[in-house]
Amino acid sequence: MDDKRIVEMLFLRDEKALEEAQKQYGRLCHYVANNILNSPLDAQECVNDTLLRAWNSIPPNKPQKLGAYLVKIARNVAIDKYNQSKAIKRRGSENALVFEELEELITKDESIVDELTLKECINTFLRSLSKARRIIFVQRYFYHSSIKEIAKNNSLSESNVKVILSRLRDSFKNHLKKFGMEV
Amino acid sequence: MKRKDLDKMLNLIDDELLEEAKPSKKPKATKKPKSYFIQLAVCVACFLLVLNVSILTPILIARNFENNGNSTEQGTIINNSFSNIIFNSQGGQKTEVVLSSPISLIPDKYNSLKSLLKNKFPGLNEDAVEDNIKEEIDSSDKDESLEDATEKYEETTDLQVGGVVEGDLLKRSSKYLYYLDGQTLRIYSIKGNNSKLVSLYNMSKIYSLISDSTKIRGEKESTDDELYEEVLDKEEYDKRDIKEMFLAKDLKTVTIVSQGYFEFDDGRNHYIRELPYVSLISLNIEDVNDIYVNNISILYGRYESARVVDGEIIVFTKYTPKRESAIVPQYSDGLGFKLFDHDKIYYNEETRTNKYLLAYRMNESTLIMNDVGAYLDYGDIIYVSKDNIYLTHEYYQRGENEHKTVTEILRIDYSNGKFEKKGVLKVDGYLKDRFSLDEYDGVLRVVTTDNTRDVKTLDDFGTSANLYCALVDTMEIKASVIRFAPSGEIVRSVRFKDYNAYVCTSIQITDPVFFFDLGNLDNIYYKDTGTIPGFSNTLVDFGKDLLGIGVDSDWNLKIEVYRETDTGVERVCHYLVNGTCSDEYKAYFIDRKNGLIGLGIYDYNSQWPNRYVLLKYTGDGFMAVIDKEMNGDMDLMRATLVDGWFYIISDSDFVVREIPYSIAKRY
Repeated sequence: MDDKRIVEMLFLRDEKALEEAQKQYGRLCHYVANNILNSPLDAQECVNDTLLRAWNSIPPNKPQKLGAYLVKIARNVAIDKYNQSKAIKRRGSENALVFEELEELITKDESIVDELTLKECINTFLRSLSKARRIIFVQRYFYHSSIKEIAKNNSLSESNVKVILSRLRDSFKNHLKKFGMEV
Repeated sequence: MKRKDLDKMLNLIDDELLEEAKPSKKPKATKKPKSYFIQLAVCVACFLLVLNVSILTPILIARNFENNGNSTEQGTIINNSFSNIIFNSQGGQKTEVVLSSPISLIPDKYNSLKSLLKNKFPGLNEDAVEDNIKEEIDSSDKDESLEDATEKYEETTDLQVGGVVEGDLLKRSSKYLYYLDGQTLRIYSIKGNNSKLVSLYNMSKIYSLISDSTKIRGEKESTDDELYEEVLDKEEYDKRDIKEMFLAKDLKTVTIVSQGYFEFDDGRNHYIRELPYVSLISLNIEDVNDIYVNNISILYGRYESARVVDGEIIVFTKYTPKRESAIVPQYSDGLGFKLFDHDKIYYNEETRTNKYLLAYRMNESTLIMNDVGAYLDYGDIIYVSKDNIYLTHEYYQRGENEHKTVTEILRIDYSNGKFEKKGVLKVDGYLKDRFSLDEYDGVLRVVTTDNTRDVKTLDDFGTSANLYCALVDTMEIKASVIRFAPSGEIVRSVRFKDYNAYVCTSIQITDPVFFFDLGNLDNIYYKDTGTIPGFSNTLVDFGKDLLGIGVDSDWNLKIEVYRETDTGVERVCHYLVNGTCSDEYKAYFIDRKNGLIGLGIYDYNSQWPNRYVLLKYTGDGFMAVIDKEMNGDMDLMRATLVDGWFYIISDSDFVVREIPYSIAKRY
């Protein structure tokens, strides 16, 4: 069943839409949540929360790409859970490593950045990269994939991926400056 | 930026980009086994390295330490003119700065490097090389045709400015190819099908001595942990970042540039100091079988780029002091580190950060320092013309009515033996890369992406592109074309040639390519292709036409040719691969005379995805002359054409192919 049909069913408040969404995108949502939480059980809970939030938000929202819409919700739910639970933090996860890498971009800068600027900033950066580099960046910092997995998926060595990511973070840092974000 | 903004930003990635990167299992590239000889050579090199490091290095260090260990002169500089440097970033308040005396940053055994120069450091000792390696490293090769020929320098890098040489992994003479493979310099004879590896020079031993010489021992001089980063994975850290090399035109030396960090060891833990340095190693290569270290220089900062002009090497690094006492950068004059003189530091009332761009100019072979310059705030992009260096600084300007990125471009004249600061030009928008700048016939041309936004409504004006032409002498804008691209587009790639400018802009995955005629600045006119699928990340002037390397609407690799017509710009032909290629411009082989373009690609449809392709542009289409599997990282692949033979080199492969005369004429 395609995304359009599932969204239509959600508009009609047909619960079968959730089953279908779970079937098609549950695994991907579980994958991201598990990378963040390092617990299959907690990740499954996130998937359930994701579907509930999707049920509550469609309508009024009408996503064009349901997979991306759901995975963004799953990522948010998992990060909220991660931030709230010290036990999860102690457990260690790929998320901790990802945030450690992004630490250099985080400051106490209090300036308010509007959503439009944030969106323009990240997407112009990603679109300025080659496809291969862009995939590596998104897999690491959105999907929270491990270095090992990225290396395997992209037929690179782990050290090669680390070097690429380090250069990408440097370019990203420069790009943030262009949009007035202190790093 | 705050963490929640960063989280939010990552959640605003366009859906299609998320789908594109969805983790999935792709077939892993099958790699050809490496050449038996190369594997063996690496094993032997490692064995010799272990032998040398474990046996020879302690002896040398001990000897050097006896001679020089306590010879570093100490100096104290306080209350000098630097004390009043004002940093606007600190609220514009004058701060009395107590400077670090130079000694505090000089490692205890720095001077042992000088003694190191008295010793020859052969890379591979031929006597110790096993017979089968000798077959490959054929040092007794006596080819009469090579012996008789006069050896001369040949440029392999497609330079942005003629005569301003850029560093690269591959350089060559008429006899030899020099390829920098990590810490090893590989030298091949140029003899078509009979080309061989004639020499290997491994620099691990030298780097380990440099690391040791730049190590600071004892207790940390500051308890500020931000200055240190504990090295947990020493093995990983030891993979030094080798950047590029230069071959001197007299063919006597090769200069290798790499990045390192001052280290700190308190006997219990090992730290990297938050202080990067660049090392330059000049190797004497007059006899490829007897290569040795000529000179070494250590420069402050993180490597940005370098050029060689008329026998002088100009190196650019970035330096960000983490504390006020280290505010003044230092340089080595061969005897130890010195503080930059006050008149060598450029800053102005608008200086906003404590980030320096440091420029050093040295004799290419002796590495003797001729001049230095430090430029606060500058160095986002560096462009070097024959007489001038242009450094850019971008900042976000929040005005009453609009917010926008502004770029300042500082001109430094280096034609008279010294760095001389000249004017500053301010333009709206930000630059894509060094190809967005060009100096020609007394005019500096600049292309930017303009991101001006209305502050009251926060309406997005939509990005667009600007072109500016400024007089070099005065740095005043003489002509401009503002917001010439459709709203929402950003600059993807720029190329200038003579009085022409070519610009590719795009919004997502469709683009126009613009052709500008800048012959008459009072009447600039331009044409474009209209909207076409995909966009070009790189534009190359290619004879009468323009070559674009980028992607099509499905994000496949696209190599396309554009041609100016009476009415506009047309697409002549394209070559598509379901795959990707390197972003590194220096990894492209470009032969305008023969209409050839070569590059490493990753072909998703191929059983051997890592490939090298050489294409011939026939005037109305492309013909694949070579399409061959290749081991190695495509960013590190380089190629050159010599007398009808095409040489492709990567970090783990070396391939030679004959090219028919009909494809490539001999020049």
